Amino acid sequence: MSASRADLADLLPEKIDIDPERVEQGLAQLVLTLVEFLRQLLERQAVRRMEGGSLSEDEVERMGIALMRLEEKVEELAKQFGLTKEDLNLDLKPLGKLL
Amino acid sequence: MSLLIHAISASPCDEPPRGLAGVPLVWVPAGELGLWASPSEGPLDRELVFDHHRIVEQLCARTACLPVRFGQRVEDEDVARERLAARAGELGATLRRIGGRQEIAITLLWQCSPVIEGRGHRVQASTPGRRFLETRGQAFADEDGRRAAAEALAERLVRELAVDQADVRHAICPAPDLALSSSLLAVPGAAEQAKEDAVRVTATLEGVRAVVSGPWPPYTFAETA
Repeated sequence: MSASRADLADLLPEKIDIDPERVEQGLAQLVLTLVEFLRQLLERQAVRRMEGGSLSEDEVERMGIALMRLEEKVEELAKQFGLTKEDLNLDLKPLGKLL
Repeated sequence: MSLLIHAISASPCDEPPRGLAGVPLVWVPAGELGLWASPSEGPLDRELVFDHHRIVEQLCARTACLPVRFGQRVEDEDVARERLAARAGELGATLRRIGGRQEIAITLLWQCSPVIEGRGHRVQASTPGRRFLETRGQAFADEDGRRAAAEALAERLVRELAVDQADVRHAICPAPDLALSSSLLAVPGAAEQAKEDAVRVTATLEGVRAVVSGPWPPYTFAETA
């Protein structure tokens, strides 16, 4: 447990950046990264269900449209905060990138 | 004065190489370990990367070291000593395992993208929602195909090079053009032979182009440093 805590401590910055100009962007980046992570999970699940034939035509269409719009919205919000798609990721060091 | 850390060792060596910009290296002892560093202020630019690597190579050639990747800078000697002492057990164990060894890097670039049989159908939908999901399904199938093929290549490398699993690290599909980025920890004194073996084995792999480089200080296996 202590080793895990030490590993985690290495991943975290020693000082929290409280620059008011950047704190909003940093928070947006963290939130949007998590949203993007969930969006990609949903997308995978939707494709799996479509390919497995467990969705009706109408459900496939509605789910596809919803996921398409969600992607557009994430991109739009990221752009507003000056973030690119590559910014919506977390480096989990020994585990690699989140996305 | 800040210090840029180059390597961790159990003892200082005679006639250490010159540090960054030709200044003497600093040896910071902490218990049974110590670290080599150069005084460093200002931006960490490209020239310093090469200079750091030169220092690490020369230190590793003189004594058993844990190479430290470029960019690890601490405020002063006290902070360096404190951080080293806090991880002495883990670093000492890694040093005993990889000290005096070198690594060979193998990079496999895709020449053609593999696909999984039975998946990856053509996108045929006429409605936007289904078309979106079918396009994604195609992309996922391509991605899964590349990943499965890269994992098979990694397994084949380990098998044909007869390396211990503990002495190999793989990054599977680390970038769109890359199938595999692997590092092999060579037995002491056998790095050149390991490189020759890697060149010979990778030349037989289909669908990829191989780049074999090294021997390098074992940066990949000293990641805990």
